Amino acid sequence: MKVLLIEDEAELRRSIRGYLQDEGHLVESANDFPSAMEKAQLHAYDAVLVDITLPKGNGLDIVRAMRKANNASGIIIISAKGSLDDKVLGLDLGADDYLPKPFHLPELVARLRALVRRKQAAGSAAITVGKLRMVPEDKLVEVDGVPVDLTVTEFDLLLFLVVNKDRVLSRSAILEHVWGDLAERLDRDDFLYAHIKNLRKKLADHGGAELIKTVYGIGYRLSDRA
Amino acid sequence: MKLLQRTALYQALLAIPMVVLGTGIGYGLVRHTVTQEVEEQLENHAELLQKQLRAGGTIAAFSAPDVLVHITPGSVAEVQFSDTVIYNILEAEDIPWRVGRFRATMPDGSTATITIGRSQLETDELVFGIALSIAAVLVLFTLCTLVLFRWLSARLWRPFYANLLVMEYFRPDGPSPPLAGSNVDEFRGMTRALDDMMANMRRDFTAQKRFTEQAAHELRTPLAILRGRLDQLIQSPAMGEREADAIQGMYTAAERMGRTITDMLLLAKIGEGGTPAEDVDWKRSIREELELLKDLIMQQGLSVKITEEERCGIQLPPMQAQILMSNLLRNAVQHNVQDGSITITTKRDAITVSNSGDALPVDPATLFERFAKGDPSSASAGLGLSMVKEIAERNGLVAAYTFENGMHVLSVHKG
Repeated sequence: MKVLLIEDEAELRRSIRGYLQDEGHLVESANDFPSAMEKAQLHAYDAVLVDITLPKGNGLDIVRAMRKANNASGIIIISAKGSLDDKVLGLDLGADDYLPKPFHLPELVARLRALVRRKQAAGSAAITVGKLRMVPEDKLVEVDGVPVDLTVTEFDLLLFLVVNKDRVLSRSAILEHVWGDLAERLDRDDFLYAHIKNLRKKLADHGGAELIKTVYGIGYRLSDRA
Repeated sequence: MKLLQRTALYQALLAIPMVVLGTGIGYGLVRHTVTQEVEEQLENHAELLQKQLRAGGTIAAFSAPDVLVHITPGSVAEVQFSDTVIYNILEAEDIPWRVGRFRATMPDGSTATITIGRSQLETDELVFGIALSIAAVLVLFTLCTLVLFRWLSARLWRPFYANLLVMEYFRPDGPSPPLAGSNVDEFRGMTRALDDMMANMRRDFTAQKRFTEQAAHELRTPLAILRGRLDQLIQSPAMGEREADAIQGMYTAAERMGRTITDMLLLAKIGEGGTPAEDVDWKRSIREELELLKDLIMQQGLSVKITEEERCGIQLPPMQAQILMSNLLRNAVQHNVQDGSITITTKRDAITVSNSGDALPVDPATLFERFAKGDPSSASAGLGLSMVKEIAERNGLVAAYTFENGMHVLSVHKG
């Protein structure tokens, strides 16, 4: 996937770019308004990540210009302003998603995946990891072709692990993804562990026992490799 | 009562004694003048008679419907006037007369008294007629003044009412129509003062909003960098137990900081004001927040009961209503016990959330303070209930806490 990252904060740019490149994406970046505008208009991207607060301009103007030029790239606004007005305006202008900073990088990956899935596949696209197959749009999970019955929460949890496969996910990233800002209220270790345990058991019942791996002290990783 | 109505009422109340007094004085003056006129006529008449008597003529007693003359022996010291009532056979009623007694000298040198009377019937009617006219004119005049004054007041106070309307609908974050100008010094002064005040409020509001947004940006960006770096770091395969432990510690700290920042900014946002309060579908709000908490409620095995005793009519800005309900319910879940309970009760002007739980280790009075926590080691910054209090106070409500029969009871009600 070809991604344009518009972010003026060098450190953040570096970590997002690094993480997405490790995922196998092609990432170009821009650090101010004019260069971002130029890149957005000259090249075609599958997705554009745009910060609102930029040197010499406002990221929302880039969104406006792209949509005005009938540019169909997926657009995710990443902003630290946390202003509801910006979010509403950004989505009105045609952005596909709004991710408030600080976010976890796996969350960004999940949003990107979801966005591209929405944009590209008119029908339902399946994601496969080994013998596990998920069709997010149909809320379908199969192991070796046999459907697995999951609760909504378990489905969310599994999908998050699947789109970030082979990556170590911290407990805090998982909790925040599935339970949002409620994550703070959770008796964390126990709570997440209970859900992972249930999920593992259901997958194991269908022959997917080893998919979810525990990374000691940190979190979990889903992989079909050892 | 409206200002103009009240003014008119006072004017009317003041006008009534004025009209009565005015009519009374008018009547008295006319009466006095007429009486004097009558007495003068009586004197003239008496003088004529005195002359005739001195000249040696004789005067018989004389009586007509409106004049009466008779002469009696004996003398009076001086001229006397008096009122008397005489029954008139023709008219068949008592008629008032003005009677004068004058001294006279008879041809034989003896003294006598001439008594001359005049019927007051017609003059009385005249006086009453005049008094009535005076009253009518006064009443008419007063009515005209009242109406005119009412109209003038309305005109004069127009800038005041126009400005009042502008003030009522003034929001520091929205446009507002210009204040009314006036050629009255006081109103001009008021308009100027209000204009300044509104401009200040707008400026403060904008500055506060800008500050909040900038603070948010400046605090969240480094946090985003920290998190991103950690997310990358944990991908490293060569991580030992010690490193993992350290990283977990950093994650927790970063999260805690992020939460505190979010809560502080929310609190600042509530303080900004600007959004008007409106009716809230509390029943729905409660259901939505409970739905979000579903997993937690299930995990702790809590039983939840919603009692809608009355439809709750508490009005709040929509965002604040959501923050309020979410904080109340999260608090009830967080400080609950395994297999405990939560009861939510709504009345017309109160929302009460009670939950089972252990008694507070801290002074209940400090519960609503910022950064107050029941458990000092808690990862929560302790801003949840201070947000509840802030929202309540901003909207003229009261947030209260009691501990009854092992239940923590938090309520928000009209003061």
